[in-house]
Amino acid sequence: MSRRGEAHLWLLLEESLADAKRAEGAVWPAQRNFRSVVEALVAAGSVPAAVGDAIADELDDTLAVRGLVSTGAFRGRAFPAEEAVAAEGGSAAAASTWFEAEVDRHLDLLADFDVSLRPDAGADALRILGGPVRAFEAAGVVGSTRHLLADLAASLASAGFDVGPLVGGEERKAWVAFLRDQPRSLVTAEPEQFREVRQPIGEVEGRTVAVTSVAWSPALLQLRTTVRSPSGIGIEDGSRWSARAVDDGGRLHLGQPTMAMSDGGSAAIFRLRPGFVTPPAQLDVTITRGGSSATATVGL
Amino acid sequence: MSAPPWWSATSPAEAELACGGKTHTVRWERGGLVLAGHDDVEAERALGALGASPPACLVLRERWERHAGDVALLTLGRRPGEASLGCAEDVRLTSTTRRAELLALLALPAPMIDRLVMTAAAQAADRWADDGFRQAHGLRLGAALKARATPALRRLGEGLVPGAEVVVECRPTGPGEPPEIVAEHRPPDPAVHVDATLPLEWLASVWGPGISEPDGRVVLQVVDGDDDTFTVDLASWEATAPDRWRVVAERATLTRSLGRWST
Repeated sequence: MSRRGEAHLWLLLEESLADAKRAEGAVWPAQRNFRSVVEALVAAGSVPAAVGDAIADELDDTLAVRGLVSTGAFRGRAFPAEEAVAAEGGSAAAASTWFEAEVDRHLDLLADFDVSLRPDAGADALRILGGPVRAFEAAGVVGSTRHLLADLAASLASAGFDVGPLVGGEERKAWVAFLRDQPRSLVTAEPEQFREVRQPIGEVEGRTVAVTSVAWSPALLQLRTTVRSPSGIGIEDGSRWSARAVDDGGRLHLGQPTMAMSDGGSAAIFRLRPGFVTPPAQLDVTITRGGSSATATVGL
Repeated sequence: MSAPPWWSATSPAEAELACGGKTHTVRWERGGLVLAGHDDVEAERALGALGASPPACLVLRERWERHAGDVALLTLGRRPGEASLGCAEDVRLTSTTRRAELLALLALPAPMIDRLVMTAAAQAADRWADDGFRQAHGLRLGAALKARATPALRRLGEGLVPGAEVVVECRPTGPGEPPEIVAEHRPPDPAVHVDATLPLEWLASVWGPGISEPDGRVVLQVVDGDDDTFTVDLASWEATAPDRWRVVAERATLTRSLGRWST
């Protein structure tokens, strides 16, 4: 039994409190970064979800007692000590899976920045992602996260972002191309072409995932999926799912986990960017939730 | 010689409370609450048991006693360098959820909150020998101890290698174990590493009452004494090898004069 993840969270709470006090008013980055580390350790299986959520709430309580956030944020929940004692060690593979999806999410966010106007956005992303990497190291579930972070830093630098001194790492061409292309935002994009497919992707956190249709336009790649669990309802929490597709030309398609849930929670739509004019012959689709993912090739 | 009660060096504190149409004073002293406006607390409690609305002072004391062993207070309480804390809300004693009860206590004046937190620290120290308690709450309490002891330990280590950064590790001692502090300088690492174990009692009996660094010396533990004079163990470095040190206890008398502690 290992509780190194929980130990890290208690020490990080102290650092986050100090950060929040220094920030004087802008405390949400400290809260956001703490929540990100909690999510990382929960996804890796290093900390039970109830324990991670409880410690994150206690950070909010500690800020409320100092008037740094509203008293309304004070929850005063009892700590789930029994679940903490029963914690297990976690998995380096799950840590890597979660972190890879998180890197995708940050690449997608960074694509909205004009690098000439916000060169520092890359350093911000690396700082945020550095929290989970340190947490994984503290919890002993390092996996490939340190290498991924170094590769991301090299790629961001190659795309023109100011990231400070590099510590090894190799530029990933697909990431750099995605950032340089600055694919259009999907706010108003709608698919123009549609193709029905029936391709099982695999098991993600005990749910069976399959792509049932692919739709696209020059800006958008839309994947319709079924997500089924033994209870029938596969999607209870849309925020923890994400999707990535790599086409047969090596081009990366990423999307925030914005999904339309339908069919009683057993279907979901993932919207990724960029799209394409001429569809590729196939897509390697990866669906991730927390520390679990599945990948399969979808033929078009 | 036995260590005095944890509250021995902590001065009394007071809060005013609206109670039965009057303003009453609730006083903390010698580890507990004294209800100055109530001569016969037991009789009033008995009336409450028969259905009468209990006076606000009694409700406050009941909540104090219910939460005084709550380890979450160590996470909420003051850290070094913080002048004050507390919620700005009115003390609402009608609601009985855990949240409402804690908020009511955390809306008391800061010196009262400090004493509530110290009570929780002392109760945690009393339960430290219990394996189940340490399993359940040891990580939280370790972080709470480290957060409060680190500034003093960093200053303690600063003189060892002039100009070197001091990196501190600190955790609670095992049940009944004495404090132990060692330091090491490992070139080419420019930092001095201080590794300390302190008894959990240190929080309530040393840091809480503000006697952790009299005259710039670090107090390891209170050995004896009462009121304004205490026998304490001060930390003193002893070299054990080149670039290695350990702390030895140096017994001293600590006295309070005009509210200030000195050796």
